[in-house]
Amino acid sequence: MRQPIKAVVAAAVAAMTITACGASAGGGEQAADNYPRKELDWTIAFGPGGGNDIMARTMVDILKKNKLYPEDIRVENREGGSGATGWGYLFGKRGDPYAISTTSGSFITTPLEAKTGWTYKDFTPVGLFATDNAVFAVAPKSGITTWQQWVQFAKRKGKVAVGGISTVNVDFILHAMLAKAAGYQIDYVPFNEEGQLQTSLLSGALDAVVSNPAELIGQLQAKKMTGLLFTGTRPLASLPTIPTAEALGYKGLPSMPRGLILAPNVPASVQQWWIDTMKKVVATPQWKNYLVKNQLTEDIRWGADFTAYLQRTSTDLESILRQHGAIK
Amino acid sequence: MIGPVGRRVRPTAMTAFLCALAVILAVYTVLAFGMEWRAPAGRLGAGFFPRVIGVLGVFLCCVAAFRSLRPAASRGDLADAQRSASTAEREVVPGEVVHGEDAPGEEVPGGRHPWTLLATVAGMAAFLFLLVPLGAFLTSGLVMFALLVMLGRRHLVRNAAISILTPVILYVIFEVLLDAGLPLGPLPLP
Amino acid sequence: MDILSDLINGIGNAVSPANLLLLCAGVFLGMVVGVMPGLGPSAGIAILLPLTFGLDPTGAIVMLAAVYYGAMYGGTITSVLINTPGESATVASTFDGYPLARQGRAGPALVMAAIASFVAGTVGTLLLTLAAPVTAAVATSFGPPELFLVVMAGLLMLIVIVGKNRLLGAISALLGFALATVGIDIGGGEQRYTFGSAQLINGIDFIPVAIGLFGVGEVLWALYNGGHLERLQYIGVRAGGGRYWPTARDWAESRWAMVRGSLLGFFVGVAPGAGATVASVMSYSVEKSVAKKPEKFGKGAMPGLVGPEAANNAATSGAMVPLLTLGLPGSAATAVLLGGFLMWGLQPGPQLMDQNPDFAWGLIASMYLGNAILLVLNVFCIPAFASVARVPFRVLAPIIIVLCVLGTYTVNGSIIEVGIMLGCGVLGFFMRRFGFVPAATVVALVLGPLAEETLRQTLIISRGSFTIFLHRPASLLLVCVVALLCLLPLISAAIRRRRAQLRAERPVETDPSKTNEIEV
Repeated sequence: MRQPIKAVVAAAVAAMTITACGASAGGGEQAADNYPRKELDWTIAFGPGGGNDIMARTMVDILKKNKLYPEDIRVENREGGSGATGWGYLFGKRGDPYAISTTSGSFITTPLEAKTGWTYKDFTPVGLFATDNAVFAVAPKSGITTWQQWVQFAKRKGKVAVGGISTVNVDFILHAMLAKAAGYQIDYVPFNEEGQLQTSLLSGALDAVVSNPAELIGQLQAKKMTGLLFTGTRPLASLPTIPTAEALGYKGLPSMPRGLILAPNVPASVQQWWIDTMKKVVATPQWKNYLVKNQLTEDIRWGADFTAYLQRTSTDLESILRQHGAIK
Repeated sequence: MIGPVGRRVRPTAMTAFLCALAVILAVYTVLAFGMEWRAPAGRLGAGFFPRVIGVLGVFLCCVAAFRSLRPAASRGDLADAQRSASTAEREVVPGEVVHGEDAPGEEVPGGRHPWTLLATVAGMAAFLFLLVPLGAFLTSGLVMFALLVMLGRRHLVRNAAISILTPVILYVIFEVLLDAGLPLGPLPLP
Repeated sequence: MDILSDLINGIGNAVSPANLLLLCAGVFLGMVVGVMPGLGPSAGIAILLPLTFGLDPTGAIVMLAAVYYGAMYGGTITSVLINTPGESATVASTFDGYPLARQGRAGPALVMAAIASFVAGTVGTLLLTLAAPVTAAVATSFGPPELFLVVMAGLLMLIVIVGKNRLLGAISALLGFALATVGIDIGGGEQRYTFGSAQLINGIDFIPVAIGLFGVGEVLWALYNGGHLERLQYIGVRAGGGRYWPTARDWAESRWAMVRGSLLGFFVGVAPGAGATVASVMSYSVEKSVAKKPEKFGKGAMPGLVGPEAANNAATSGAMVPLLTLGLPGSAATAVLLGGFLMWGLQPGPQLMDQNPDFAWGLIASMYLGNAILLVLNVFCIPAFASVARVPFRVLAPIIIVLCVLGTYTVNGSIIEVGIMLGCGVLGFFMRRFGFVPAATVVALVLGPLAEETLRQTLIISRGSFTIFLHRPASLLLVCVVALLCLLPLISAAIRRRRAQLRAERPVETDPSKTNEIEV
């Protein structure tokens, strides 16, 4: 009986020694001329099938097909905590030039609502490629076909019930900003899931919703919903009749960043390697095709410009959310 | 259901468990009262449901704890108390070889094994702390071997074989087939 | 008949040799994933989704539908054999499935479950084919008030699950509700009970709690009772030819349960959100209330396994209605499928069936074929699965613990969830020890947040007035259904009493199937 226990202890000790060696060997500084030399650890902070996942997998596919990254790329969905888990993992890879991740709206909003231990400032920016904008839609049953009619309807009704995804999110901010600028009042109804949000509009429980064009396009094209306003700077290619917010006189509506980040404190040479590589990626037809299919607005900013964009969006969101008491 | 009869009562293990639950739920309720009851414009605030759940939970736990008290005179075993206060959910099944729920007044065929239980829980705790540093497969093997030895000491070789084979099969399923991303630890796995 | 020819076309597409191969591979992989505790259909699809990117859309969807069914059935296998549900929709399968396995009837239980899935799949596919346009209209009438009522109906079923033990059952459910309030409050963005941990802001997931309370809790309970001793056999093994195959009595007892479960499942499954879970729990309670011997439920009653199994399978077809006709995902797994649509370059939405009929009908057809293959596969595999029961428990216990830990970790790669799972294992042991009802805890955990969210949404929309439930036609109808469900146990008890009286007066054995029919 003694024997096995001893064996277990011995094995455990041996294993721990190996761990210690393994840990000290990983990470460390690499010179640019021999980068990349290792497998890339690509974190997707959300589950498969989501917007962030599709973007990341498209990028990886382009990198592989065009042999832009010579080593293996290990793609891992590390979902949980609205991105807190995945980006928290990347944050823990400080200085590791082989840890990378794609961003989306939660990259800004999650640190605003929870103590994540990191913000956008901590990571090494590669670049912004596109932004997520939103469509404002009503049900056709309402008979409303233009934004002006909507504003009239909303003023007449006194208070309108409008829906979007979660509270600490751009959806709420868009509703609040538009209502304030147009002079009507809203009851904002937060949802957890896109499906429930859309059925609620179709069932007549909500007066209007905002959502990503990629989520709504099917409904809009089938005329099950009517788009009244699009928050991008240019009209959507697939739905050119929906007027932009700017054309209707509303400026400064926020959008959400689709970009690429590396772990904190990665050498500038590695950052530059990725900027150069991604410049090739965004020029491919496959990437352009992805943007069109997913109704994204191209908006390219590299390195420090990306950080500046993140900073502006984050402070805007924070001040608006604070005004509305959504965060403290 | 039988309430406590007589004046002198003694607490049972169930009483202790229910009291622990009551304390946890009480803390939960106190925290709930720190949240808003109503949000602006007549909405239900974040604290609404937690308060209802907490208050109800503490109350019910106290009632159940009171009922679980046994008269001190009868040295009747816990099983009896359990059965009266307990459900048909998982009761004795006729034709079952060995049943989980204790049958009152009857000797439990396997006896009680609190130490086995504690050792298993300790093994699980070790699993939790070693999983990331040692990697999933090494830890699985070690924990399995320890548990197997504890549960059946005689078959050392068989135990060793099982604790090597199982992680290997799991490695094939999780890593090779599903690419599921378990921590690999220091083992030089492909 | 146009629609039927579409379906036949779809089947034609799906049965091309390449697709059949994908179908078999999918069912098998799905089953492998599903028997890992913690990995249910949505995790299975999520893990295997990247594998399908290289395929054409129809091939990919055929494979994923197969994975879905395989994983779902895999969850049933673990529910029956080791008391560990793979997702919330198979919780109800543990109630009677596991007691059946303990009595050495794992084989018949698994075969009956596979048959129930097949029957429900057939019914579901037919309804999906014939009634999709109509049911789509039902789906679009589901706003927050209606969803709230559906969830309430599910929660009411807790009363039936809890059985006689109301007090401890209520405490068990409240524990589930309490766990459910952890995380960001969707209403105002406030954090509740997260203690600043970013890992907890999305709340506590169902999977670690269910695996802990059921799987690990059961192992600990068995060890405490000496299940590892060699002279005892914790899980019964029945020798002889009756080991794998259901008896005529099993069939007679549960054929109507299958039909009831299928119909109930399909229509509840159309409701977005918790369709399959609510449907399976509801079916269990319906079976218990119409059964002639409700006291057998929870101790290995075949209809108690067959009903919920049929219901959760048919609910899958039901959930496809809003997905295919409206582009709206009704469950976690269909949401992942929807993401897959986008990746294959398809535009989900109301026009999907018109624009990509091959794809849509291929999906429907492969769901059906998936069920058929599952049944065939089972005929060969069940002896293997059922032989798990012959592994001595002292060997099985460590394996189950290892599987539970690795399965939980794989879902989100979170060590905190493993901790939650093991903590719930210890809690599950005590709940089992003192006669609590873990099933009530997990059902409350799944449905609690939905109930809270939809009630609050409803009250925002109605500005605090409850009359909204009566003003909307759909919700008025549901109010009536919920009221009826509340009364059902009373009614059936009354019927039983009346029948007992009759029997006392005129002691003639009635044909069981006929009395069942009258009751329905």
